[in-house]
Amino acid sequence: MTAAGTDDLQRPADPAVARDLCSVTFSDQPHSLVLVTRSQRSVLEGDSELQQLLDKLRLYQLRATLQLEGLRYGIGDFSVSVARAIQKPLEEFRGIVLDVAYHPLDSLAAADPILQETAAVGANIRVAGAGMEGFGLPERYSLQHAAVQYVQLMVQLLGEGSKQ
Amino acid sequence: MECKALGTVAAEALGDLQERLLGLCGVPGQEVYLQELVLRSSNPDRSELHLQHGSRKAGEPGWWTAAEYRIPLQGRAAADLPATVRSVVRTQCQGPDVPGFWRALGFSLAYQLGKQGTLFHVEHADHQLQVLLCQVRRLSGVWPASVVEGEELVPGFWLVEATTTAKDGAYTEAAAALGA
Repeated sequence: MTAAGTDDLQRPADPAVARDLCSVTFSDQPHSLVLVTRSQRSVLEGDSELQQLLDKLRLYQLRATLQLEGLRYGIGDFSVSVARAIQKPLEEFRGIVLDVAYHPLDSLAAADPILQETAAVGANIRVAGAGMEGFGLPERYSLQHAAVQYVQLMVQLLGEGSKQ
Repeated sequence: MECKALGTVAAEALGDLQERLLGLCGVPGQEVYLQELVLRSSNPDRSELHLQHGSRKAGEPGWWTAAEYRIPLQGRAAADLPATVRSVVRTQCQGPDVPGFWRALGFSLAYQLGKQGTLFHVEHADHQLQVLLCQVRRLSGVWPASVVEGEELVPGFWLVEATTTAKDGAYTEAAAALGA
């Protein structure tokens, strides 16, 4: 995941324009890229050319990159990924990330109680805010939903890191 | 790199052209409705972004592409080519509100237009050519607007737009394929 901002660019500040932009890529979806602006609550999914397009338009400057590296396990109806969060390029450790997926349901609202109950099993597990409201995403879970969740996670991890 | 040749055909001659294209393709063309929005950023360099929405039927969800074009090749060599050649970065994109996403990044609408017509896919000299025969319509108001409700820009004439992609920078051969 990468995060970028406009604060360093020489242009007038417009409150209606997003000053943040995150791009999310997934290793199991190498040809897809999802862009998220949290401030404007907007999402766009594109193919691998989307990053090149963004670079050509020169709207933002790269601020931070967070890489999640780990393993995924299948446990019945669940899959659990455990990953280390590393901030590049300084290779700073930011925390351990758990990604729990419940496969029989593809609706976030329907699966949320089960996932919350699962997360409550482990001590010291903090659930990253779902925060899907306002993005206009459909009910059915997709790569765009996952990207929004990971952006929330990244903000939480990088925000905590900067406080230390 | 993209090669593009443009022309017009009078409505009376449209049928003959469609028959020739049908003969080259072997299959009928596809009906398409295209909305093209040209957006400019609030950056000092006023970057330009081309958003295109296409569908097989008016009002269908369809698909979106976003593209950034460089200025066409110039000079004597380029002037002798039968087509315009320029670099383009193009991506398919999807989301709850594709134009709204780019608006959120500071892009505003410069202009929009609609194209309603038929798309043919022709294979010639190892190149895949796309030939679009369409009426160009002026769209105004909110964006994106409905193609079928737009006003015809040049009544009685249809736009002929032929494009192909140059592989590995071999734009001379690609442009020649269009010219043929």
